[in-house]
Amino acid sequence: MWILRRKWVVLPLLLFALAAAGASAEEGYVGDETCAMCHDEITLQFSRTPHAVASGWSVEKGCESCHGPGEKHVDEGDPELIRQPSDLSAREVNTMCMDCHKRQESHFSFRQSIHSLGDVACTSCHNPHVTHDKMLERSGRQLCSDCHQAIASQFDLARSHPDDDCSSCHDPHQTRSLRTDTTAFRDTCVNCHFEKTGPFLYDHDVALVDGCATCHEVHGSPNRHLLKHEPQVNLCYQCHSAAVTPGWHSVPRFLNEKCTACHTAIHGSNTSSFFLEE
Amino acid sequence: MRTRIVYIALSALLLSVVPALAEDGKGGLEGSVELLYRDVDIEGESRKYDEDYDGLDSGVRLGSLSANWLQPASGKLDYARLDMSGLGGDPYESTKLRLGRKDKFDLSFNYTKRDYIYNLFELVGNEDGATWDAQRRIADIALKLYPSDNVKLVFEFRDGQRSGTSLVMKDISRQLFRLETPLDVNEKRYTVGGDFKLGEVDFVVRQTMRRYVNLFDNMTEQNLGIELGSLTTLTHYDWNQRDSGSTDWTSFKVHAPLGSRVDLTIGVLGTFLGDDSLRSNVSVNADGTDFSGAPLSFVDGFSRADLQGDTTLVDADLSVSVINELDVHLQYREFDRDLAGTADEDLEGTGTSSSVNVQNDYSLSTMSAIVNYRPVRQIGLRVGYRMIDRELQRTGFLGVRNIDYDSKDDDTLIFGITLKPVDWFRLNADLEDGEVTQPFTAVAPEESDHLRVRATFTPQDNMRIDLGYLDFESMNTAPDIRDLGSFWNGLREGQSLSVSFWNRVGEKIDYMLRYAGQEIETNVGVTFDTAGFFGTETGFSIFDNDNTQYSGYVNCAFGTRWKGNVRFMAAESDGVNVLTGDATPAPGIVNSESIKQELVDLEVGLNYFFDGGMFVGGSYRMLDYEDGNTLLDYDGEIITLRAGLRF
Repeated sequence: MWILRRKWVVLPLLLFALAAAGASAEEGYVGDETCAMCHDEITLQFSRTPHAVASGWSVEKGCESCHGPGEKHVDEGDPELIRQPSDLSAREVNTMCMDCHKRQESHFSFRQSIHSLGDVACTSCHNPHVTHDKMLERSGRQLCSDCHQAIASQFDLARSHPDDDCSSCHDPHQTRSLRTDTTAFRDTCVNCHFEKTGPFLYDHDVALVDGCATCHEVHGSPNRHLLKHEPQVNLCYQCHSAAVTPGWHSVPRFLNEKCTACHTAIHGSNTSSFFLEE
Repeated sequence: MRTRIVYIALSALLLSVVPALAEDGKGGLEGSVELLYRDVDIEGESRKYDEDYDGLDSGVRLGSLSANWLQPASGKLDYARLDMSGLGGDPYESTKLRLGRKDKFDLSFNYTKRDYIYNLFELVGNEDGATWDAQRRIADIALKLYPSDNVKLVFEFRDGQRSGTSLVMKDISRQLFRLETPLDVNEKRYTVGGDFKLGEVDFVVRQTMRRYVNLFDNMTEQNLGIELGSLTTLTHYDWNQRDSGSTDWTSFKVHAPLGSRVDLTIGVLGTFLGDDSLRSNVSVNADGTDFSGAPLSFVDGFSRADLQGDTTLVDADLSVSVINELDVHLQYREFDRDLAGTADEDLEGTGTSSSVNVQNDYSLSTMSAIVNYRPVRQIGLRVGYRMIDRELQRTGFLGVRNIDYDSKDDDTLIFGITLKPVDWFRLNADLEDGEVTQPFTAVAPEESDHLRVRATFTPQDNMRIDLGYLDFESMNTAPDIRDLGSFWNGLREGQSLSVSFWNRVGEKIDYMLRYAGQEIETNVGVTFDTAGFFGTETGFSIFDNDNTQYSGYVNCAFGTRWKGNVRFMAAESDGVNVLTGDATPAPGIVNSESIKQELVDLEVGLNYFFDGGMFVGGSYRMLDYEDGNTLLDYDGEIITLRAGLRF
């Protein structure tokens, strides 16, 4: 074949091209030590971040991985001559971050995640210079509260979900923002509420199909059990009004009751198709 | 008690040694630890306080501990991180440990404990229906190994324990009894798998085995029935139930960028290699009297059930960057879950058992497409369309409840816009407008509108204003299954508005003020069976609820030593639930219940910082709860003393 006959010509050319490409990739980079000469405080802080660990500490391009080659900036001292992610659009910032992070499983479909579609930059939540867990700007649900104020106010109620970290249930990088799949095994909620996983011989269809949030205001609620309505009968009537309410349910004695006072196994039962007992 | 002593001793040890561990220069140890003593004083209905705050009480606690250690090329470890909170007796405890070495391994351990207390008060009076006092403990450990740059191996184990009491209703020969019962649950999950990179393609494989056991061992004596004047009595009751089974699932995911503009992810999850099963066994013995005074007795009652399930889930996400300004995103999901079981039951020990075959098959198919267009940097536009088709087929649920549902078409239009015309303003709005040809259940609405708007103003670096608005309306028109020619209507609508203002004044003070309001109204057509089983009296169930909340905080520093903070929240919930019938002649069913709740939660704190990061301080917290049912009111004071170290 032509290529085999000329391999002694082609191979050196290929090697030269690769070497040239490698050399050009390094062009204009000055290394962290040079950055530290002026930006000592932030360089020191960066050295304590997970990014520093990920870069293996000895890689010279720690700062310049995000800020780009700094040679011109160093030579002329002009802040305009180095990339400032804060000046980039959300899409540009995210593209830059995804260069390294796109192969993490939770980031596979990041491009169509709710946050990406809404032009929220990675740096809205993550600050590459801080040492906090996952380099998050703030901890726990405080991180999400600025944008999700209504949800934050629900968490302030006395009866609210005890978990302080939104990411226990939500993955902000995914297309389906709940951390695990609701439909498959109701996994998001039953991850902790595992006694409600089932399978049940008699499954409450709304739990099986529509999920826990149909009846529960999961972030926080003035109502007991984080239910959407109280008294509970009103909640249940939304599905069970004209449909299935035999005679005794109209007796005033029961109008004041919670339906689950009798239908205690409302999430699913293995002995009662009316969910009266487990 | 011993656990508390251990935690406190560990904390004291940590307080004394961490300064020596903290290092200057790259890496090193940093974090904080805080010990506290809390004194809780509640006046009024303390059971209601316990219900609201899950029994937060007095005592010494490890409030928080956070230690983050990074060290370059130090041998066996690169990083270690420990976070703990609430240890020593708080309702919510958490411990998280993670350590590893880059490109070698990552080991993590998590433990959480959650207490739940509910006192099932009636809406009138303060009858203690029962106490539901439960605790969940979840521990998991995960090991990730990186034998090469392209391979990650994963091993995980999780153990979940639920213990405490629950509340069950017992239907014993048509006599109803309400009993507290211990419910002990154990669930274990074992997962193995790996992440593999082959060129530009990523593969993720996991196999999980879940094993669970639920135990309901319910005994009672001298339990009164809850209907017909409590004439029925159980003198002895012994119910033993053991539900156990397994759910094994396999997941496989492929992520493949097809060139620089196309990104494809396909995931499959299902019970392909294992089992999804349940085996339930109940034995029951009881003695008592029924409402007529006749003996109520059965011996060797039983129930047995077996269930098998199959699940398949396929997901696909495709993103195409048509041009730099235009992306097209597609999501596809196909889900099937088939559950089939048999039950054999003779709970009253009559010697004649009844058998039933139960089937519960559910499928879902959904496809959505979104076009995201950014003509200029300041504007992003989104237009999308979503189709959902759901079906449920079930048997074994008795009579009319065996209906099969088919949602046919659920079509939703999606619109969105992001505006950033200037640096200090950002607006994001989404509108969804959906229609369902035939509702799946009443909560799957025939028509659904959903508008959400968020706006952020940052006129200065030290100032931020956030606005949030939500408006939704869902309307069902579902067939009445007892009269398929007629329909009933359900309407649920609401709005919520939130506004917050954050400001930093100099280096010493920052504060936030927030208002959040929510209005919800539901109006559902109801048919009351005032004349017995299939007699009808039509009417309405109306629920009207307004929630208002004011909250905020102030953080301030006085000099370099003193730091103070104030946090407050005042919430009011005002609702009414009305059931009205239109019987002729009147009166028919009329029932109206008012729901009012007001909670004020105010906390003021002050800390003093010494050289070297040590600090001491305290806080005063005031709670004031008022209920429409005044018997449930309580107020309280919580005084907390703190000492800690930042390193």
